Amino acid sequence: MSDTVLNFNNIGKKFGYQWAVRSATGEWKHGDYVSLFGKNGAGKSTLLYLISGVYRPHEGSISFSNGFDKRKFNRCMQLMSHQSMFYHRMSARDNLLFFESLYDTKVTRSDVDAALDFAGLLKAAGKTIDGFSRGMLQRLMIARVILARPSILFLDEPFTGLDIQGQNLLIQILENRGLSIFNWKIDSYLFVDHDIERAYRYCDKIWLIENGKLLMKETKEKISLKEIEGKMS
Amino acid sequence: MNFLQVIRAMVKKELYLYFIGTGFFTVSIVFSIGLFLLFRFTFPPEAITRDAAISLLWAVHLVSTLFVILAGQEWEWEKNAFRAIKLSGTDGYTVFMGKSAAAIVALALLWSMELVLWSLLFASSHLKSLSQGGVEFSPIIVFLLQIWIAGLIATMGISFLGQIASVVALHSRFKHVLLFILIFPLSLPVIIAAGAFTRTLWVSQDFSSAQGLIFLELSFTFLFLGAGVFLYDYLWEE
Repeated sequence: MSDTVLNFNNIGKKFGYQWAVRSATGEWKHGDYVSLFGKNGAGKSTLLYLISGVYRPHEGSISFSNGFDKRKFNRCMQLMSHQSMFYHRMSARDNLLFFESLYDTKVTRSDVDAALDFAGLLKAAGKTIDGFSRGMLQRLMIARVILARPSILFLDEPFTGLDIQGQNLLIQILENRGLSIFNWKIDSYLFVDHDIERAYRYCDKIWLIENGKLLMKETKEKISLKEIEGKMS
Repeated sequence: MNFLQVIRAMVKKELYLYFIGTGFFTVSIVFSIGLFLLFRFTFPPEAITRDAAISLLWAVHLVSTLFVILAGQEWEWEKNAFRAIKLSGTDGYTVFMGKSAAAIVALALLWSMELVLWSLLFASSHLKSLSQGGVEFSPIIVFLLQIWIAGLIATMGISFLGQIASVVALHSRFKHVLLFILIFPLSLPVIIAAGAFTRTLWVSQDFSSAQGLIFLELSFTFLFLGAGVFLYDYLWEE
């Protein structure tokens, strides 16, 4: 039986008259740990948003297989991006409780506090996140992801604004592909990061996008870090 | 997913943001009180005719309603929080119902305050005439209750319309302007019907002669509800 979760076929997205991604084709499988490389403005984030379902493609289609549909896919995935996607007039704890209430899982206040504690935000749990720094918002996003324990994770420059301790939390998640203390295992992820070396280190597959075109889909063994750096320069 | 559980969470979150998290609701109340006081004490009482008083009530309610509706979208747009809801797999219909229900509760409270204040400042002589020399209070209660219901129906209509307009405006660069452009003309039939209902009731004290206007309000409200239920899910995809 195939491990494919979804196929994307000639998908594209434009902003105004400008195509950000055009005719991207590929598949997403169980066990895919993919890093997406490309220069600034190449269309990395747009492609990630298209596959994750944030954007609806202006052309092409996305189809699911192996018992997945859009709804089940949404239930299994989380997106961690440089956009906070929180309610800034609510406290960190209330934000997490609200977003978790959208899922079937029963999450208690102590579960939320445990995730906040891991992310180093327990002391700020009751504060409105209006005054949170960029790094604190990223940590809050880590807490949201931990609570949801998604099997599929989309990471769009998740290290943005994180201090060393915050980066270590995220590295711990990427290295272990989950967190055993939260009984969480990541089945697959798509990772976008401006640090090419880090993105290369934590992936098994490499996708390269240039001017909105998905040019390359290779396993890590077939392409070295130097070759990627060469293509990116 | 438990539909009611999500609706409850949505309503709780929205009401928290309306009443505690932001100052929008307070600003709407201050705006309404300010305008009523401005008109009441700028002009001599005899200069404020019945029709001017009724127009003022509905104009103030429309503007304060639009302001609250805008506030209800602002926190979705602010940091793209709506995307996190969308990614949870929650369908647009549930979001529409949750946000509408919360907006209706908040606006019903605002409307009640506005009606009480308006009655005291602009309709006291008419209410006195209804009470037959101060011995009979039930005609006053019936009169105010009927106007309150007309206002509630108008509020529901504008709330449903507001959710649809906001999700259309969501993908525009000029979302704040577009929201007003979309809501204002479409909400006018509801507001005009509610205003005409108030006038007819004031003049004749006869509900049967004004009920056609209530049906008109209801028709538009159901139209907006239907449009929201069927279109919201499609519209909020990007």
